[in-house]
Amino acid sequence: MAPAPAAPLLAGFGDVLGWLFAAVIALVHGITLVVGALWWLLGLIFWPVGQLLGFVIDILGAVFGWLGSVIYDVVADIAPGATFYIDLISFGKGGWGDDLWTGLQLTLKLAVISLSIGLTIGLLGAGAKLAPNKWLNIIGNGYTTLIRGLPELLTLMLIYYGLLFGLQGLLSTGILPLLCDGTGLPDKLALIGLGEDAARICVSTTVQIDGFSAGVVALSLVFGAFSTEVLRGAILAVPKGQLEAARAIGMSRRLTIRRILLPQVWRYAMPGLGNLWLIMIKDTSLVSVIALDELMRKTSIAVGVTKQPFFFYSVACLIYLAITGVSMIATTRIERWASRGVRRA
Amino acid sequence: MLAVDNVYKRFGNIEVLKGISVSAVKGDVISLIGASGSGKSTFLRCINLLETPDSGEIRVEGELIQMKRDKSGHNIPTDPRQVDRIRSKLGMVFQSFNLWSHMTVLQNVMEAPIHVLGKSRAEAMAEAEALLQRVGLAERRNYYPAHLSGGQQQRVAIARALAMNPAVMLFDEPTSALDPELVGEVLAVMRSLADEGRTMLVVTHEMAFARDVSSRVMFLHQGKVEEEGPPSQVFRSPTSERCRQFLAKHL
Repeated sequence: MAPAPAAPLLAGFGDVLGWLFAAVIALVHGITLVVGALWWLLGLIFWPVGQLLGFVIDILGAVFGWLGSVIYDVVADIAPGATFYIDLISFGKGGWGDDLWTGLQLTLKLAVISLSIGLTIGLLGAGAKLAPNKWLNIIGNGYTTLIRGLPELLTLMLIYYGLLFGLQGLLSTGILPLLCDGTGLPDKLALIGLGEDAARICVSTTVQIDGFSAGVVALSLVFGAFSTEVLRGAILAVPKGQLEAARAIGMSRRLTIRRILLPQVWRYAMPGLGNLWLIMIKDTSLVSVIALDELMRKTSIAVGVTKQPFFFYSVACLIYLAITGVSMIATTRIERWASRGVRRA
Repeated sequence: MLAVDNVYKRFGNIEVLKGISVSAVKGDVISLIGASGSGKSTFLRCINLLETPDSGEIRVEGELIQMKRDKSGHNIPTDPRQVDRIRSKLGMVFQSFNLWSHMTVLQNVMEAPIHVLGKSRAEAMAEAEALLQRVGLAERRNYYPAHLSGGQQQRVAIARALAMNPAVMLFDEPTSALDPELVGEVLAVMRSLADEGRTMLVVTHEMAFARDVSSRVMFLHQGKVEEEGPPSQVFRSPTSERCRQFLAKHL
């Protein structure tokens, strides 16, 4: 007896599974669409931040360029030997100055953009953790537990390689072709508005995420998780009586939060947030592992080519110290502003 | 002006208020006295729903605060916006002042008129300055609360409550957190409010104030009104033995 033609895999479950996977794929599409739209929107919102930063950096660059040339002439007069090192970090041919410069810009952009997104997440997270709603508590706790429990490097890797890349791999190589054979999936996709062509596009679309975006997402998530805790503590530190006074005078819950609670949160949160900002600046160097050309990676490249590790690592050292130093001055200022009226003048 | 009827409140197993009623017409100054734990502060906080009474009715200028039962059987306000509106008609002064520490004195007084009543900045500022003048702190208008003495802070808190032009002023032990030498200035302001015909409910330990200023005195004991009447009667010939003992200790 001739063997019966091999039944398509999963044929028996055809209908149920077919619908199920159609639903999953529709869901995945939905999610990618929403994520994509959000990402685009975020880009739109924070684009001016990046532009402004770039502008400031360009001006600073011009000033320091001029200053550098003056110093160079002076040094060349006094100690001709030292010009070897100055040449190494110069902006001209054979110098690594311009490379370090672009690296520094990327580092700063990464940090500033992650700060603004992370702080937003932190506020939402703290709100979720303190909300009287059980599900919001669970989401908030889950988020901080997960992110704070993972090494930052791992979070970055998971986001870069894992999330979208893995999702796509799943779609294009595994499940989808299998289903198309056996269970009439394209029909079902057509039924929910995705035709056979759409299914094919779904297979061939490349879901990609670039290093900079992955870095911003990872650093924002990390900053968001830690600042959630800082902000939660700060919110609880605002004297209850002041909130009660606001409610007693007829202010709604929202008005009380906006006018009385939030303006005072910064006073209690600033020391912690300043700390997190310094940590984040240093964490930007982690993004070098996914080949994003920020300051640390540019330094490594320079070391590799010139075989001057001590010199270039020292230069990177000074640059990082300069950023953190300026940051500390800035946070002290902000702290003083946030505590206006409280510390004795 | 204000009619509170048969308010009950329990915290866990302890019944703090066992059916307290009070009604005030315009110009009444009612002092609530009693030992600590007698429920006078809780009663005051129930009137503007900082504590939610378990049962009882509260009317402000004839408007009943609507209450309902939630899923677990607790009494809760039906409409939060009604509560906000009623609260804006009840000026509350706290024992610990509770000024907003990130705002100057002037900003503290202007805040609610602008954001709750929707007044213009200019109007709110003019009124706030007049009120600060009234409580004798016009020259401190740009100070932050932390830079003022307790008595000054409490006078600002009174100005802040007055800025809403409330139907009734509620005072929750307004002088209890003050150094003795600062009590007088706050009481003087309160006295002047009573003189101009403000309706006031005052929880206090200042027996002289209760005796000289109020139109009615209520002595609370273990969540009930034990003695009530004009100050002359309550202070000179109290019918309740407990009230007699309490007054003997405090006069």
